[in-house]
Amino acid sequence: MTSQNDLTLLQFFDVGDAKASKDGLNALYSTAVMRSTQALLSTAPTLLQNHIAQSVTEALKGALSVPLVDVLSSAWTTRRELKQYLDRSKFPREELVDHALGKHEIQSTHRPKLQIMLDQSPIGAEFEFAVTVALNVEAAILRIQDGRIMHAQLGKVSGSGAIKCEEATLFARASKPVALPQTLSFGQGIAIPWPKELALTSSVNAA
Amino acid sequence: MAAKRLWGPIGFCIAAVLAALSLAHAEEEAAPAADFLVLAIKPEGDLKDYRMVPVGEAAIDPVQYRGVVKSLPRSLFGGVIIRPHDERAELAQCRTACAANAKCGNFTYVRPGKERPVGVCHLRRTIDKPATVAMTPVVENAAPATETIVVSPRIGIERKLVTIDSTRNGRTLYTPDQAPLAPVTFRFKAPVATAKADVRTTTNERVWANVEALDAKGRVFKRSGTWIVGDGAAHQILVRTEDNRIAALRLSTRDPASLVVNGVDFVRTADAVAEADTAEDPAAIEQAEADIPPPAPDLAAEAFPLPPRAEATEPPADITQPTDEQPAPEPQTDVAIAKLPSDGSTDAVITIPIAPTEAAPEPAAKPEKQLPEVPVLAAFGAAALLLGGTGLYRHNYRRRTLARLTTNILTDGRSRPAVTLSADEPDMSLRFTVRAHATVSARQTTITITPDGAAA
Repeated sequence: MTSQNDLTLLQFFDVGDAKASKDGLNALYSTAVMRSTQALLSTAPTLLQNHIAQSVTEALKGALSVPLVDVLSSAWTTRRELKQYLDRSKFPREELVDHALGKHEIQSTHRPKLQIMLDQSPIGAEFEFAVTVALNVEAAILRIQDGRIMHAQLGKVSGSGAIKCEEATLFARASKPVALPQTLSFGQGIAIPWPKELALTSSVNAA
Repeated sequence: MAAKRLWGPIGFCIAAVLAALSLAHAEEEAAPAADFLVLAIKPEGDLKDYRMVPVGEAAIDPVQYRGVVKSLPRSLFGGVIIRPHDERAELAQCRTACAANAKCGNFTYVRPGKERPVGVCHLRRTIDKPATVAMTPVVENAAPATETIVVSPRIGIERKLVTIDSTRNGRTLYTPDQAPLAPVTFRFKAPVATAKADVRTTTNERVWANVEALDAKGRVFKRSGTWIVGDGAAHQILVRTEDNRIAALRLSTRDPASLVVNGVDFVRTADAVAEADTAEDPAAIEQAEADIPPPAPDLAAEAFPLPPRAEATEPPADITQPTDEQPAPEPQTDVAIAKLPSDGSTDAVITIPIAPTEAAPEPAAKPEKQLPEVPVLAAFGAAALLLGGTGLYRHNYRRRTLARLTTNILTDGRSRPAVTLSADEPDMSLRFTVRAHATVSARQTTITITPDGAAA
């Protein structure tokens, strides 16, 4: 059973739905890379030719097993105002800070690449997909300690997105609410990255 | 005078006309009764629906006959689908075809068999009569003098009558090309006490052999039967009496030409050898041949009543198929007399297999009903194995084939995610800073409230 904390992009795009999956396969067949791969496999058994798109889709599912919480947290760590919590003189290690965020939007894009292998040898060009996710967060309170985001409380979240290969849209999601838990716990915490200049200074001082 | 002169030419003319008429009649009589049209009775459509297809004139044209067989409906596996054979309906087709043809005086119907799956009608010009030919005596250890006769016009079975002319004890052996095929009747010039037929089958299938012993008056006084194993080896069928009573020995089978007789041994008692010549009545035997129908088991007769028989016709010489009714199998109850009687009775019929007969089954009560079970079960088993094997092979083939094609994830794209937030506006409404240690009480907690956007 998948908890709300484990919500991934697979569920976000509803890839498991039969109709959506069928539409995605049909769209994949219209791409140039798929056609070129099919041409290379024209002498292979028909069973294999018909299995190409399904194999690609299965691999794509593996590439989409990204928790949606990771998208949120990686976006939050890029905010500039959170860098101040790295200053130990102002925010000692023991101090808990709740940082409230108002309404904001997160845009995330990543590009998984797949390669079809026949008898352990690559065949055809790589399949490159563009996975775009847009999340609208009404509000969030981040609990920060020792330069790490330890917990988060979320307001309403809605999201939309699309998975594309070349110009073909395989899966698309209209904007609608995302069922995320109100409180997120990040275990050991998600480190807020140091700014480059600050990291350099720290390393010089250490030397 | 003039009138007297005229009588000469008139008489000559009349004589010439009479001579011409007599010659024409003689030609007509001498004309052999030959087939003029052979029709195949091709089943079509529903039951009792037939089409008569010409397949030859004097004899069956194999090419035309094959054309008829090829046009029969085929099963999934390519075999000819033969609908249930209705001999009565096919005979009616022959009868109608003959009646519709002005030249037809008689016909011969050949029922379908293994080699010829479609029955045929031989239309003939004249009505054939059973031909009886005088027998030629044969000498011992010489080629048999065999004649083909139609002994029973009612049944029309073609039997061979072989006369064994020796009045002494001995053996008659036949060369392979001259050995008579069953049905055959061996007539002894002098009755014998013991007659032993050396037989073998012509096929690899076992054959049921009917054995009948006839006395000098042509009466069947002993009748039995036995299975002859189709192993190609010779087997002996022995009929024994304590006095010289066997005047003829008749062998028949269900399938004509399935049993061949290699030779006959015959033994007479010493005191009766001299009486042999006087006791024989060959005419009575031939008459008995005509009168005694082949025995038929009661159960078979009840379950499968024979249709009305065809007209008595002579079978065509070029047809290897049986032309009429075949002798029915012997009643299995006669198996009991296969043992020598212990109560001192005079007659006995026993069978002695010469070759090892491990596979020779004893005649069971109903062998016909037991035989099909094993092939049917074997066929079902083979079909199940075939289907299972095919399914397993296809499953393995699919699994192996699909395993050749895989798709690898080169990168999931998360190492360089492009994550952006909406413009870094000072959208923070409040910032709560809780400065508290885990060991201090709530009173010592300091709460700092920072105005909106100040931190940005």
